[in-house]
Amino acid sequence: MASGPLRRLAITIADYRVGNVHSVASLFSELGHRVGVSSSSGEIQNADVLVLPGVGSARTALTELRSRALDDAIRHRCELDLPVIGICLGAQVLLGANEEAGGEEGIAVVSGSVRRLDSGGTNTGWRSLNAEQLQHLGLNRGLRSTSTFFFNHEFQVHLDAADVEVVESSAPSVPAVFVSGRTIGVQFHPEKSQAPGKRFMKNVLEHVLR
Amino acid sequence: MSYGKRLVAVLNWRHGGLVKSYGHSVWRPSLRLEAALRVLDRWQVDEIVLVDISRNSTLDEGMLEALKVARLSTPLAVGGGVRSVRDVERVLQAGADRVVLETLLLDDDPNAEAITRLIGRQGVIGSLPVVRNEHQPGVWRPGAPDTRRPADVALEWVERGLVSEVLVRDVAAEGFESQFTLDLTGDFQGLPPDSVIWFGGLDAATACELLSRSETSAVAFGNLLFHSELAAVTLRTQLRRRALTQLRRWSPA
Repeated sequence: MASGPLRRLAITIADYRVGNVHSVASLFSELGHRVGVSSSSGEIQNADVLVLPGVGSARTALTELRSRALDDAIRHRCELDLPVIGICLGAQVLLGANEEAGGEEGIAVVSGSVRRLDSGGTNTGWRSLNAEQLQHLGLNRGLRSTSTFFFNHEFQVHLDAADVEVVESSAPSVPAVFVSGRTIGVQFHPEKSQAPGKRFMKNVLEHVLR
Repeated sequence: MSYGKRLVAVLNWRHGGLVKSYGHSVWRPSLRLEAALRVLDRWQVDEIVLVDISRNSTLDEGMLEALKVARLSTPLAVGGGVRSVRDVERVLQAGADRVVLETLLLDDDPNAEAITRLIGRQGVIGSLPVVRNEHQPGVWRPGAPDTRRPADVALEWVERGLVSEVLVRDVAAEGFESQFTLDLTGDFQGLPPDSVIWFGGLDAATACELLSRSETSAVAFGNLLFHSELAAVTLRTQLRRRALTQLRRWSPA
C-alpha cells in the first residue's frame, strides 16, 4: 500500500444523540483533520469521511437515525462507496436484524446481523487483534501484535457476506473489524485505546482513501 | 495492561476540585483535574473512574468543563450527580464513555433503568459503598440505614441487567494503603465472572489475590497512584510480577 502523509480531510461525525462525539472528534483532530459534527443529510453526503460514533443502545440509535433521515443518507454514501467508519454501536447499526433493538432492521448496508455475545455477558477490557488478519488488510502499520484496544459491548456482529473481510479479537474471539469496500466497522473504541487506537485509525483512514 | 483484567484509577471530585479522600471523612486538595487526567492518560492506566463525592443532586459544571479540555484517550467513567438520561447525555458529551450510578440504584429509582435502556448495561457501573459492621458487611448509607447484604445488592443489579460491573468500595479504607478489608469480599464469590471492581485501600498483594478470582474484572486505586511520579508504572509492574501465572492465563493468545 502506498503510504504518504494524508491530506487534511473533512471528517463528519454523525450526531444521532447516542455517542461520545467529543472523544471521537478529539481523535480525528489529533490526527490533523478538520472535524465537524452534523445531523444534516447534506453535510453527511459531502464529507470526505463519515464517522458513526456509538455509545448507547441500538434501539435509540436506530430511532434517532431514522427520525433525522440519516439512514438514507448513509445508505446513499455506501452505494457510492464513499468512506464510512462505524465505531462500536456505530458499526453495528450498519448491519441488518438487530437483537438489541428487538430484531429491528439496521441500515443494512453490510450483510449480517447483531446478536447478544455468546457468553451472555458483556465484553469490557483491553484485547489484542489477530495480527495476521490485520496485516492482510494493511491495517497493522505501526502496531505490534501485542497492541491492545478497548472493547465495551454486549452485542456482536455476525457477518453473512463472503466479500466482507474480518479481523477478530482474541479472548474472547469476536469480529473486531469488518471491511466491506470503503465501509469499515470497528467493534472496539479506537478513540479510547490510547496510542494504538490513534495509530489504528490513521491506518483505517489510509485504507478507505486508497 | 495486556490482559483482560484491568487496573483502574479512581479520582474523587468534591465541591469544585479534585481531592484525596481518606475514609470518606477527611479530604485534602489534590492536583487540578485536567493535570491528573493527563498524567493518568500518559501512564496508560486501563480506565479512569471520576466520581463527584460532594453528594450534590446535580452535575458539577466545572468538572464537565475540565473533562472537555482534557481530551482523554483512556476510557473514562463518570459518576456523582448523575440522576437522569439528560445527565448521562451531558456526561458522554463531555468525554466520558460510561457512567457510575450509586444513589439511583440504591433507591431503585426508575431513572436507573431508563439510563441503562439509553446506553446499555455495558455503559453503567454500579457503585456499592460497603462497610464492616459489628457482625457482617453492610451497605454504607449516611442517614439512610440499609440492612441488605452488599453481595445480594450487587447480584441483583447485575442479574436485572442494570449494570455490567459493580464498583465495590471499602469506604472506611479509602485512601489508606493496605487497609482493604478482605473479609468484605467473601460473599461476592457468587457473582458472575468479570463483574466486580474492587476499590478502597488496596495494595499490590491484595490486588493480586483479588485478580485471581473469577468475579473480579478490575482492581482500582486512588491516592496511591499519586504518591510518586511512577506509581502507576510501579504498580503495574508489581501486579504483573506477582500474578504472573494468572496473567499468562488471561493473556490474549
